[in-house]
Amino acid sequence: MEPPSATSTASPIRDEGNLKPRLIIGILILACLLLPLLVEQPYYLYLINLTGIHAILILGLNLLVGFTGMVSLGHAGFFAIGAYLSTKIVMNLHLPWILGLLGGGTGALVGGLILGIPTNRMKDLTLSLVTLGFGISIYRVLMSWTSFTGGAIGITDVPPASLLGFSFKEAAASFYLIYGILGILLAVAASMAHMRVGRALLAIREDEVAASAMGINTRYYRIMAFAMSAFYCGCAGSLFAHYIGFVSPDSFTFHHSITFVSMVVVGGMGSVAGSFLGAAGLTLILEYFRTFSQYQLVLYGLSVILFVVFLPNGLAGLAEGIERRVSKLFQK
Amino acid sequence: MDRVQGRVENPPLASTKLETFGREVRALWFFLQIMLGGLSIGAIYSLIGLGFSMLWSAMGIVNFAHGEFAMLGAFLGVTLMKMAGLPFYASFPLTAVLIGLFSLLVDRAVLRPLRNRDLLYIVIATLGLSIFLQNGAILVWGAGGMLFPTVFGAQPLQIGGLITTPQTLSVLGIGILLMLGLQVFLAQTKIGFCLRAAVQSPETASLMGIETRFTNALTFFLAALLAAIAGMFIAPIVYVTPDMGVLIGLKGFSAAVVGGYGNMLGAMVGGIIIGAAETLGAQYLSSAYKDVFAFLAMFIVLLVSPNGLFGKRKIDRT
Amino acid sequence: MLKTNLVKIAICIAGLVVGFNFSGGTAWGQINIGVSGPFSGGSAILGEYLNQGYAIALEEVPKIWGKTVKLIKEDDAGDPGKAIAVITKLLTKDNVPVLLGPHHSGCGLAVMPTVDKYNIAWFSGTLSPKLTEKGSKSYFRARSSDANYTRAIAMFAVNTLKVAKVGVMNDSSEYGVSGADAFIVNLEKLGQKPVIREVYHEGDRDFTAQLSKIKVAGIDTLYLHGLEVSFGLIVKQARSLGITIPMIGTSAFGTPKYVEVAEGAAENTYFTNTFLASEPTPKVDSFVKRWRTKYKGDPEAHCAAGYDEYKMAAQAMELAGANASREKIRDAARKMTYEGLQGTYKFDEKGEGCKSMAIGMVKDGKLVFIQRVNF
Repeated sequence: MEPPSATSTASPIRDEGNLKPRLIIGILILACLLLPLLVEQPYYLYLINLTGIHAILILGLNLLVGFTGMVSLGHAGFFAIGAYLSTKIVMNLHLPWILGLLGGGTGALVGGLILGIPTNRMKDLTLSLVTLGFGISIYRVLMSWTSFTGGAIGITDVPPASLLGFSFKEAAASFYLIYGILGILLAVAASMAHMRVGRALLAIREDEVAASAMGINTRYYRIMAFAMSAFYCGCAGSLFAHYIGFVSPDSFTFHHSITFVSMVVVGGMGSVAGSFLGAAGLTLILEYFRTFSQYQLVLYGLSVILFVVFLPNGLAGLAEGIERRVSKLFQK
Repeated sequence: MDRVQGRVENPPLASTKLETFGREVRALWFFLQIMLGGLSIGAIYSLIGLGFSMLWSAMGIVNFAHGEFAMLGAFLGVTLMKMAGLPFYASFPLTAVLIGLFSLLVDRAVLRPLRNRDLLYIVIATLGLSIFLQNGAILVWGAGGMLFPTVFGAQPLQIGGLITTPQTLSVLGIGILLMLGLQVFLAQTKIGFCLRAAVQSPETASLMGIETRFTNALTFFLAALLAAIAGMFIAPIVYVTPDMGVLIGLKGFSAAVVGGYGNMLGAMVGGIIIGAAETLGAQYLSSAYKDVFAFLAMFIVLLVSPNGLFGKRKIDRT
Repeated sequence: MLKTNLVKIAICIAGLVVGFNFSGGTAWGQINIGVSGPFSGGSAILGEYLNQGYAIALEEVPKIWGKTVKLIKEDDAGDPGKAIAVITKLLTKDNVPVLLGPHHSGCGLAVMPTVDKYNIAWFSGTLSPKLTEKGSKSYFRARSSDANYTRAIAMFAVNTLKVAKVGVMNDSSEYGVSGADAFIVNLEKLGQKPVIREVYHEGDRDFTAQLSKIKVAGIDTLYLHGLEVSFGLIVKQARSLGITIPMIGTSAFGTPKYVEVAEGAAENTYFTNTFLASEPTPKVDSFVKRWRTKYKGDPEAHCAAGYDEYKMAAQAMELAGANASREKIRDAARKMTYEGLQGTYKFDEKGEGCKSMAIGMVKDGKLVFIQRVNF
């Protein structure tokens, strides 16, 4: 009766239009707003804030990987560019943080263009290698260009973000900042996904030849996807630097790039909400495995494999599947 | 020259020429010395790259955990030699075969279910596999790493002004041997012929009675075998650690791509290019950016020739 | 559309809050001590050494304040970002009274603001001089600063080995760079400047590029600053390139691992370290004997550091009195004198405690003790 859900390729995002009772939505949103007051443990708040920053990053990465199907294994590089540039803008040029945010994002965007334009013609596999090389090269530059980046020590005492005189020093304040920005970017991404842009990207991912035959300017969209995804990453990098209070190359390694891509897959490729689900999900998984001390990373690697094999649509797909089954139940 | 004062102020022109010539010869020898190192490490990248190319051309898959087979080969080899007391000449083929068989297990467990999926899933899954294997190795052998005894001797040798060690030469030697051997195997033996047929066109091959499941398994086995051997030969020089496979794997992958993904001769040439580029760059420009040079070389080659040096356009066989 | 997405996110956040209630919890009659160390990643071997030291120290002092001690070990993998997360957890969730680690200089610098904010004493064997230069009210260096290490070896090299042209090679990490810098400062105090300086990355395995340049530089000794496995490889490759000069360095040379990796090329190496298993004092002897009953080979300096860290913390806690606050423990540590495996410790306000170094050399594949220097 029900057509089997696609297992070989992730389905594009759906807007079911299932209207849940507004009351529930309202309560949940209220709970989210009050979150920093409900969570007492600073450690948990720290993790939640970090998840938010990662979610922004993953949102950007998903645009490239999930929507357009271009695998990037070097996105930690854009994260780093955003973080370091923002730090320099605020600390060395003494400009307000918002310019650091935009500067970091733009710098990363430029990096995205520099990487995206020459590689436009490259096939998936080649592209993944080039982005990988890019990520590793950025790491090396961060370590070696000591006069600008501070080398292996990095830059300490990075001031917290501040808007209009208000300094986001407390974790609770940062929560609102991070999730506020996340909300805005999510809205942008979600509406984009439904406009022509999003559909064009998905078409490119499914079959590039067909897409260009249909009149989609694949070259333009591919480059745009790269640039936008880099921009998101750069913004996330700025938030990261000013939240943590320092930047050092060891936060932007190849392992981090792998983690980011894993978050995309865990969350659900091509799903806007999946970006957040992936960030949260993998963070939770890593935290849970901490209790197993030395087996933590082994189990982490295993879970990534299991997710890919058994849950290719990620948590978002899982959520949708549950949603469908629940609504079917209610329809009876 | 100022003869008026009866003293020769400047040395005669002929001497300066000799000096510059001497300097040039020394510089040349220096360059050759560096190149020898570059070729050695390039041979390792070639061996790993060969594995990548074989997997891609035969099965259209990529395995980001391929470098880990080299690491596991090194660990297993050392363990057999230390614990079981086997001499190198026994442990070496045994390890290679065992790793080959292990790779079949990996294929069955991880890659087979993902056969028809998007490339991205395979990439992520094998990246996860890489993390799993690396940390698994830490659990089994500890984080400290082990010393792989220098089988071929670490005493410096002088060959016509170039200094090297038998071990370094052995790396070059085994690389050349294996690559030649592979070519012979593919060209002259019946099984090799079946492999090549299956690679070129699986459907036709199976119509001709070639069991593609068997050739796929054989391809996987051979690729892992090459990696394991590479690992064992480079191990005495680099010391066996759980993360030794990562950068070697990535650069081996680069070698395959540079040469034209799917092309075996290309993988070999690619390995040499990458090895030479990084060693020369590190020597003459800056040793801190060695890895950057390797990837930069790859990037430049790809800009000029997006399918690699010898690559053909991949025909989408969906 | 947007609503369903928001709903999913809301559910997730709720899930995060609920899901995060895995509580640590302290059993009655138990006291938790927090440890942050590299138990995975590139320096996981350090984590192993530390564990060995802790294990022996725990055997000697299993109880503090009459309660059984439990070490809560968290892995920071040498990553400063992780270190902050881990320290935050240990300080706020597990509420430990005292902290051992983090053990990487980069991580230490990163967590300083957090640690100072919570006024908790942290004992760590990090070596970078920057940690005490920067000034944290809570830091206690459980080894000796690289400033002292490098001073001792510089003096030994110039005065005893009588070298005149020194080459320097260090890794690109914070530890490597600041350590080599400290050595050069000490060298200059003795009237010499390095002839050549090369850099490598920890994790690199091939050093032909750097060594070729060093070979033609005409130096009579090479100073290395980095980690032991790299040292072993560097020295091995150097010897195979025909470089025969003595090698000098600090702690990483004085380890069994270095000798093992260098495979015979380790001869003619001189080093300083806070601890040497061959040092003929009763304290070291009994520690080594104890160590040998549990593990193979000889203990490394990090084992001694782990041991000393724990004993220091225990002593400070006992001095402060049962159930003392973090500030009290910290003040007690600042005032006390501790006799350790690595020397006598008396901490100043910046956290430096010990200024004595052992000098040794590699002879016949063994780490031989030459002398101890006190500043």
